[in-house]
Amino acid sequence: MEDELILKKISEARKKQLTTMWEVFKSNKTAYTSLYVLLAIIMLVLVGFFYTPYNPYDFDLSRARQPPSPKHLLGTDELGRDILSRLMVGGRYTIGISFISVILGSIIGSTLGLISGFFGGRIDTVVQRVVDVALAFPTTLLAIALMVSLGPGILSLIVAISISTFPTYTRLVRGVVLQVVNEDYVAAAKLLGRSSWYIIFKHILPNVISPIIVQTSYYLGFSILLASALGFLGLGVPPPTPEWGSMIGSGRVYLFSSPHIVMFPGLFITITALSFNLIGDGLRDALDPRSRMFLRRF
Amino acid sequence: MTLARYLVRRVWHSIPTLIGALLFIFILVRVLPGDPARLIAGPEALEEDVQRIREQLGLDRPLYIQFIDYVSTILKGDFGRSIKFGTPVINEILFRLPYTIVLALVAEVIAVAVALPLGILSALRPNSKTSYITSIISLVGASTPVFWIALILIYVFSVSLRLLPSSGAESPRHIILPAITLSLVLMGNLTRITRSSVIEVLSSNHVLTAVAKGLKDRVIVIRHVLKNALIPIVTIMGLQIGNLLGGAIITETVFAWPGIGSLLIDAIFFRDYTLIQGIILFMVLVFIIINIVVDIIYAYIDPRIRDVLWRTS
Repeated sequence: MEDELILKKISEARKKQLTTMWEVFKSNKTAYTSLYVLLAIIMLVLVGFFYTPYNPYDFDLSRARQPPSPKHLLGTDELGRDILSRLMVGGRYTIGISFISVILGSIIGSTLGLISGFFGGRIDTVVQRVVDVALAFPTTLLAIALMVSLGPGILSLIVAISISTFPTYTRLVRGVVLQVVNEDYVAAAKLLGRSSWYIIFKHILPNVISPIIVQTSYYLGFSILLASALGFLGLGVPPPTPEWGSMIGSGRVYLFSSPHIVMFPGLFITITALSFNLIGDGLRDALDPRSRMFLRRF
Repeated sequence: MTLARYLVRRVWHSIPTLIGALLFIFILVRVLPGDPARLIAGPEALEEDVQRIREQLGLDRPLYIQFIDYVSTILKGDFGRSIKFGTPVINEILFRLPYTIVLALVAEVIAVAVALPLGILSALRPNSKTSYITSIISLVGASTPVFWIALILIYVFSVSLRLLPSSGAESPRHIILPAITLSLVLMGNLTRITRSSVIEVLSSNHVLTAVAKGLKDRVIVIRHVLKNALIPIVTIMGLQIGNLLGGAIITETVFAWPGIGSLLIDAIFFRDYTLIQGIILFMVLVFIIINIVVDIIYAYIDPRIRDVLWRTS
């Protein structure tokens, strides 16, 4: 009976904590607005699955490189394809690939960090050596090297970006685990004979979840830039797929006469990455105000 | 004496990382992208010719022996020969390297020259216009693709205003646009860290003491605040070397700046695997060495770390 009461109180307190976090996040006007801007972009990309003003792959050289007009709201590209339609379809690659890779990177990296920090010893040494090697490569260089080796394509991009992002998560999570692993409540759980996995999930994971969420928001912004940079260099999704970065890459030759071909995709990339970064700032203040110095934007 | 011992220890500790990096590059280049012998011979070559090249390169031997071979040639300073140019890879790299160094240095100087004053001013006057500009710069650096900034700068300064050249490296004027582009990659974080570390030092007790002693504001900022705020600033500059190298690859490509970054992208398009491998390894080596140097500078300017590290080493 008493146990139930305690459990009920705990769940009430958790609910209250969540509401407070949401209130703090909402009070940050820039972060709150960014959330809506991001949702608008995601809506536009989702609509792209069902409807686009024109077929994004249909080329017609007779209407090539037209500036924005009522007929083509964002103009046409070097092959006469409608830029708005291409941006709507391209978003699923740029945002989708970043999203999947960062989620993968965060799961792999955080798991390694949890295991490394909690068990210590030889496992820790091995994991830290692997992370050292990954961090010995500048992130962009690592991603480029992986793309060269794996060849262009969506799957390669996902592998390349998740490998480039996981080490930071491992370092971050391991650091937090080392801080809490000697706390009394962990020792108590050990004395009660709880299994290691129970302790990790019940007592350690709740401590690391906030920094992971905040870091993920920053990394989503970063990986949008990374994915589009690879696309720009011609190492990402091969044409004619309208990935945002590769749209800039193929349009840059016409910068002198038709700057709109590179301006609009760049604007979309910037607004998306900016939204993720500002949401990240808001989440940091709401979830983990202590870590202002600790977590970094890229 | 202690400095030398610390240096030796730091270098010793980076050896496993270096071997790991070598192994990783070896796997990327030798194991994954198909058959290098076939690549060198070309798609129409006879099977016998491919087999001969394979034997020449030692590709028919077990992988671990190939790896040991690879490491021992690297240790001799031999990075192999470029498939495309036929020249030693190390010559190609050393020929292009000065361009990258100059570009990186100029970009770093611009970034520091803007970020330090802005960061300090916005820390001293929060909620002012300077502080507002600082946040914008910091966000732009973190959210705008480098290649897009580069194209905008080219459009404004080369196409519209016809003020500056957009590609090549023939005159000192050619460095202006690429250097500004690359400096924007660094400026955001540098400004933000400068501001937050100055704010942190400002609230510490020794600054309070200095204020209580009636020292002038300028003396406090220069002698007491800046000296302590420098530690996180130097750290972030070290952490940013990676961004600097990554940004240089993209910037050099857009502006056709003949450094090792654009050489890497060229090599990728020629499928020149020995050259690709050599440049990646070279960049990683540079990155590891610079990190060691930063650690030493870091230990040197922070007496707390200096004492702990050097005493235990």
